[in-house]
Amino acid sequence: MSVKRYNPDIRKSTSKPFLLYIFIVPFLLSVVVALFAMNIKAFILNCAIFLLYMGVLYLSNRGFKNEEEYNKKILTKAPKIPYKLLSALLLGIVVFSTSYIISEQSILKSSFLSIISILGYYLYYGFDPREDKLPNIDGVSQEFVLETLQDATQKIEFIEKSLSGIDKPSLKDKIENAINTAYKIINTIQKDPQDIRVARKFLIVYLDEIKTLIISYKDIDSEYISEDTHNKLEDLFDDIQDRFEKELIRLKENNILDLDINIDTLKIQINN
Amino acid sequence: MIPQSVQKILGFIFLLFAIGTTSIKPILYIFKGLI
Repeated sequence: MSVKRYNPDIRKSTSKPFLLYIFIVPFLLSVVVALFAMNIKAFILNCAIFLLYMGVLYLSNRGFKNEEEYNKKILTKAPKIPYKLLSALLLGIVVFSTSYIISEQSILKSSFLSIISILGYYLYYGFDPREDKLPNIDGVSQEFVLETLQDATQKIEFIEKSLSGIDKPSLKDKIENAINTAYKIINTIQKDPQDIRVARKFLIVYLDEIKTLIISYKDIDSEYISEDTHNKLEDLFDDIQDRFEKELIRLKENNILDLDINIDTLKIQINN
Repeated sequence: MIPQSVQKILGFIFLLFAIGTTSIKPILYIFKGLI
């Protein structure tokens, strides 16, 4: 059985700068043609423009990657470096330089083309996300919510990676089930970050202890672990699975309670 | 608010115009030189 991360809200971003890859062809051709024409000046200039255009592609790719990560996560901060904006500006510089230096157009025409290219980039690809996807919770800082969830996800990922070193299939299955439920808990908290208070023990204590347990298990050669210890471990992971499921039910019940409170509040307001 | 599909088409045309007009010309110039 393989662990499938429970994350139903992931939106897969399909946008990649394919169009920019097509536009690199003329720049590449200019370099090749200038080389065959033995036009050294044109070759050097075209090479410089080509490299700048590669920079546009690099920045765009970074920007798209950041945007994809941002879209995937329910709670996250906006990207710190606006790669897509930088890429658009560099594209403007490339278009201006090509037009003014190589095509020998006027400054006005070159600037116009440059602005059109930046505008085109913005309309076609858009710029970087700016708003943090962080909730407002009374008494808990947004940074704390984000850090706690990131920390918990890292711990689960660590446990997930450690699975490869566990030989016993029955134990592995049980750990995988626990991981799957843990991801469901994280997902539920991400949807309603108020739950972070309710699930503090799960996020801080349980995951830490499981991580420590897995580390100590992996430190010992599996040959030296007795069948009795293996059985103990399996029983422990059965308990962990039960605990996690209870935690998940508790979180869902808490959400229902919130809904009930909201219904009652609205009812009182309407009746008044 | 412009619909996203219109934005994309406009963006495509702008990019095609700006990059196309600036990058094809130098190639043609050099080609002419070659011929």
